[in-house]
Amino acid sequence: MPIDSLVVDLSRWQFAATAMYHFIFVPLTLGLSFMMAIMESVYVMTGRSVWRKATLFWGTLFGINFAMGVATGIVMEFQFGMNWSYYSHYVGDVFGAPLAIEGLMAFFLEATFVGLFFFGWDRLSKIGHLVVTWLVAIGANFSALWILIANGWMQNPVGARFNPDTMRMEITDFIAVIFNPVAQAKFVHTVSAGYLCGAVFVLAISALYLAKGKHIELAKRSMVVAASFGLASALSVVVLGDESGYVATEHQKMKVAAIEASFHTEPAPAPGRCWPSPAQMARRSGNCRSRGWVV
Amino acid sequence: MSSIPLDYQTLRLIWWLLLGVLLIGFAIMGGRDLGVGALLPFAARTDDERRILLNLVGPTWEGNQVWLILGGGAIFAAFPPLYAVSFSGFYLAMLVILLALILRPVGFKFRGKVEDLRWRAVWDWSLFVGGVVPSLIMGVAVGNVLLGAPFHLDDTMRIFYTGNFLGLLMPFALLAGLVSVGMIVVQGASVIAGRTEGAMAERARTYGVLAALVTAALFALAGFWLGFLPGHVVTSVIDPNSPINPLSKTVELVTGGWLNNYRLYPWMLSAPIIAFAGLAVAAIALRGRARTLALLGSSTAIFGIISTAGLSLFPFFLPSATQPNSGLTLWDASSSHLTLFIMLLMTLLFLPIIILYTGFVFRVMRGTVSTDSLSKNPNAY
Repeated sequence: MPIDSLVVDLSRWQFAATAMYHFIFVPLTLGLSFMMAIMESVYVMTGRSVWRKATLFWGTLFGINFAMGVATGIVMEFQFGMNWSYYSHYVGDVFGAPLAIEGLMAFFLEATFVGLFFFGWDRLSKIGHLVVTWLVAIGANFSALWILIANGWMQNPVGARFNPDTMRMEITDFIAVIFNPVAQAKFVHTVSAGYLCGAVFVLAISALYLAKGKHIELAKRSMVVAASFGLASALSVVVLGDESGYVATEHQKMKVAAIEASFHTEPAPAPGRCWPSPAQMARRSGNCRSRGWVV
Repeated sequence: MSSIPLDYQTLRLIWWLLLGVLLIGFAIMGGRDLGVGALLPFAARTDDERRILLNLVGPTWEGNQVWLILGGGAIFAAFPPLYAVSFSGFYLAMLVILLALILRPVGFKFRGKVEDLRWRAVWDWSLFVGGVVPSLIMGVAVGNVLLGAPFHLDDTMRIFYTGNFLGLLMPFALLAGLVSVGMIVVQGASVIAGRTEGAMAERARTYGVLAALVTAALFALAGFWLGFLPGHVVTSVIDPNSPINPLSKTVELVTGGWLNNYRLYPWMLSAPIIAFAGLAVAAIALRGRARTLALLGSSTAIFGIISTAGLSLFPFFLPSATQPNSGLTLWDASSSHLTLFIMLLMTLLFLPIIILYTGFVFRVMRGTVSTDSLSKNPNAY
């Protein structure tokens, strides 16, 4: 009894929709958490209350995003089993481990201390609360690491072999799974993009306040942090994103070809493609040679 | 795999225990918040009272929910076939649990943002649903596991599930669901009685005592009923050290078979005894206003009740009603030897750290919550 292809299509749509919805909130928390930690560090060092105010203000927005990330994140974890049960059986031995370690090492840390971040201001010393904020930020980023190790293994399945007795993939080299080059490239690329996203978010809201002439002290200081943090992140994204592309051409040539809608081997120098049109998607690979020299 | 210092059999048993620890961890820790949610519209009557309850669990509910996420991750990593069959087979039930759980973060974060009683009432009932529905369905799921799930595997380990959502609502399963809701309400009542003052604490005590008595009665009834249900018994010899798949064993149905373990290993009877003792202690402590003791009793009851379900099923995780040989046991539904070992190392490293910092956070946030303490915190819900 083969599975109805409609079920597969709908499951793909569902995964795409839930993953994208989840990832509206998560990149913001990656960047915002570090900026909150930086602002609170300045507060602890200088003792100026405007920095505390800034930390609390961005903390509120972080909190909403974190809660929404949790709400959508449980769906992400559970739907592997719900919609992709054969996949779960087939790769669970390898793929389940980083997901479980993410919970053990990262998400527990972040989720436990996020409550203390909001409710612990009067119950902890300044330094104590600062440590809590940094732990939230570190937890959020370690969480991204383990999720991308799991994702990296889907992209480039290293350190595992098929076991015919159990009809599934099994781990042979856990270190190889962790230090998978695709996973590492994706991790640094994703978190730096998350930092940039958070920085632009803070910049945009601060700019709006400045334009309206409201909360000027808070907005100016937030801008300083977001602009410097964002500049560093933007430069990292350029370099690390480029690296991520190179890693893909090494391990996932077909994926790169599909992204560029290259269905035939072209004579060198091959033309670049700016944007695959629906006709190209339907494998009538058209030409868009304007970018040829770039590639 | 001679380099792994623990043999496969031992690791499988350890992971069966660890899975129990995580699920009991969620029921005790997450049960605080689910139980408070279930009692929210009843124990708390005014907006101030409801805000007190939300802020009572507010600082810690997110961490508590990670026990569930970790439980899911641990099943995925340590028992992939179990994860695959149960999550896909109980699809609609899982979906309803997820939808109900989603109401909680949204409810916590958005309820207080608008100063309108109708808006807040909507979120109060959402939080109620977010507390009751997951507790009920998880209990119903355990009941269905004891009844056997309608699934079988083919020789490539493809899963065929032939049941439907309404088929899960069998009388015994609903009874198990009510036991689950009951124990969660006792937990929630103990939390409220322990950390609030005045009329709300009194109401929580009344509900808690009532729930403890009802839970004890329903739990006893479920145990009695179990004696007449077909239990699954493995009749072939399983080599617990080999990488076998579930189809290589034979299983027979024996009426009352789920009680066999208690005849073979009488010490296992301590689990239901602990459950009843915990409920009794919780009820007495709630009446006698012994705050810590009530929570201790109620947590012990949760430990006893879930342990009873696990020990009755042992060595099964998920028996199959339609093709008993397909049933999943801890011996034939686990990950590879190496994965179980790596995950054990990770758990031994991180679980104690988690328990330490969770204890720290609860210590910092201890004490009663009142209207005064809310007005001081701009982040209060």
